[in-house]
Amino acid sequence: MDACFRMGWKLVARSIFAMELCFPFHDQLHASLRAHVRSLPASMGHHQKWESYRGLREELGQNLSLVERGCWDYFDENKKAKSDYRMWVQGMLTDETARTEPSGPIDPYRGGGRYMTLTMAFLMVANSPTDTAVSVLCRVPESRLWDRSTFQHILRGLGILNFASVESDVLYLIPRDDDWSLTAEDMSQEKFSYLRPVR
Amino acid sequence: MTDPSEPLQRDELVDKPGIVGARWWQDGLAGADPMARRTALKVLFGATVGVAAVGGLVALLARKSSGSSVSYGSVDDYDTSQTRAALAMQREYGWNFGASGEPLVWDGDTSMPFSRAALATLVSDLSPSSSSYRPFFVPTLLESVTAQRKTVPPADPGTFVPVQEVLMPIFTTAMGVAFRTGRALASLFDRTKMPDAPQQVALVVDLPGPESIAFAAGAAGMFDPVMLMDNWPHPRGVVRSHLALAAAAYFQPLFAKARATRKKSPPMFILDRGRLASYTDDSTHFDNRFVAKLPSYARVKGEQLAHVLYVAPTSRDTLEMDDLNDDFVAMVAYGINVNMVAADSFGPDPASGASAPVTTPAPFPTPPPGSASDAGAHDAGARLDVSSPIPNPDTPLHYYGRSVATHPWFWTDYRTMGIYSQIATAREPDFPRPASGYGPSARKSPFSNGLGSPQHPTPTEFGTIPVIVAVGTGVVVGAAMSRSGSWTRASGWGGS
Repeated sequence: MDACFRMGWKLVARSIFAMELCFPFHDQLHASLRAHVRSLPASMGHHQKWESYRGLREELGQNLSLVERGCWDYFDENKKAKSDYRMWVQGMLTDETARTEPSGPIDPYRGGGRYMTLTMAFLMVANSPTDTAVSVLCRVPESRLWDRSTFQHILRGLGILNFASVESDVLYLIPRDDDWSLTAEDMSQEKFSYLRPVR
Repeated sequence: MTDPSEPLQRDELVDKPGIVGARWWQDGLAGADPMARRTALKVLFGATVGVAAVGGLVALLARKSSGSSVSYGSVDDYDTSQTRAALAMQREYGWNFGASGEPLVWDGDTSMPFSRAALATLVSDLSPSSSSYRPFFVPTLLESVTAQRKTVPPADPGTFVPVQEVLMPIFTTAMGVAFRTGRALASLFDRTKMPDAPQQVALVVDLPGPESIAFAAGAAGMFDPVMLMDNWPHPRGVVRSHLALAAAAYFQPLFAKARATRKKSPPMFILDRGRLASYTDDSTHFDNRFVAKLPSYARVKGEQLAHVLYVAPTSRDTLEMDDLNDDFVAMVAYGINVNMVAADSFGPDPASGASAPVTTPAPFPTPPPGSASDAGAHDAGARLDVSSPIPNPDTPLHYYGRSVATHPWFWTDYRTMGIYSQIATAREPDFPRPASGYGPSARKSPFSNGLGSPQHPTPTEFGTIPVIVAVGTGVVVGAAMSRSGSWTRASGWGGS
């Protein structure tokens, strides 16, 4: 059964926080992120989940200087939160984001021109302490939305998440395999226009 | 069946060359019962602390058992929600803590030249002239004008703008009425007109903030103002104290001049009647309420004050505010005479043509010295500031009983102040004046213990706000207010 129709879906307001980071393909970082995503068990406790994201946040924070493009957003409007969360999940379940065929091996001499993205999204109970804290965390002046320091600020602050108030979360890495990495041509497509240059 | 200790269940898994990822879901939240916000905060705070405590224990055990460098990260990472004193948070993180960027809304007009730089002296200009009253002076509200943010809240790093930069002086019709009422009441204590008028009187002015300030401005020639407004303004403040501040800015030149020329005068304690206002949703309101800090009966006695005259807004107000009950009861018990007068017992005299703009002279006859009418009549200049910022400040003049003839009747209604015999011929006002029969009696309330003791109770959460703190360090991350204000972005933060 689609989770959207689970009991209570319509009863309790939700909010959403999501972040996607786009890095130039980097062997070590990719291997580390992939290992992290694949290591997550099927069943998790709240604290275990929090610990897993703490490790991920540290990894991302340490490599934030590499990020070329990214986006983050927070919505506290129930309908929007649910539809957006569904959209982020669809980004993992459908073929609309990841490549459907290999992009080939990375040119060992020229390098570059290949990208990877890491996406996380959280569907939270609106007005819970976690939601409130995230909303406070996300109060960033318009002019600084896409600053690297803002991404750093938010990544650090996400330790505020209490998974007792997170109904669902999704985490995915594109690509899994090196030779399926996104190309510059992929990244120039309209479907990736939501990823803003990080300053 | 889901293990309750592992409520997050993976329900989607993608593992293919182009992408790897998963989604987790916990069903237990779906049927969560939406609670009142403060209740929810309490409950979830408890749950969060529990999780944090367990996490900390796990971390500790892991370190002990491994004896290695197992890292569970900084405890700063784990934040939750608590409540803190609103004023303390504002002093530390700025007057608009939790709502930076939201404007203060000014209800009123201003028509006088305004020097923003002069606001720097607002505290001194509105401080009591008499050194003996200064211990009672509560400059809190006035201090907010120039206060700087001491610490930048991690979750609210925006540029800070002091109140001084946004404050606008206001003047409203109600303030004009209150100003004239203040002048009218002060005139009754003017010894140039009433040589035997008692001077051992303390006024307690308890009107809505801007009107209290305006009343005090009107009476500032005869009484020494002692501010008791113990809070800071806030864009979402339960108490709209920025309006009182704006009124103070408007009358600042008058207060400054009166202070410079005032001789030893009885005190006039100035309160904001909105200080105990009730509210229901702390997700949209910032609880900047406060209680009155009147001098104790012993201090009142020590100042040789025999009478307290409590100024309430209307004749429908027959009790003092709850937070004054214990003080007033104690004063009476120790022989201090406590009276109440309604501000709306004063008003213009319809017979004097007061509704039409009149400049000078004052629109009432000048009776022979010593006559009943002379006893209480007042003019525009008697020890009062004639350079008031109000256009035509004495138009119309106000009188007790709303008539020139009834003005001296004040001393009949308040004969307990001791000069009744001199004004016995005045005419009685033709409307009920229940306040004149007032006497405080002990009552129990959230702000009074019903015993008249100096230990004033206050509700536990009074004057507090929910905040987000780092559990391990206690560092405040930000205010836990909702996004229902102007910083709500239904279209979201960030972008995609």
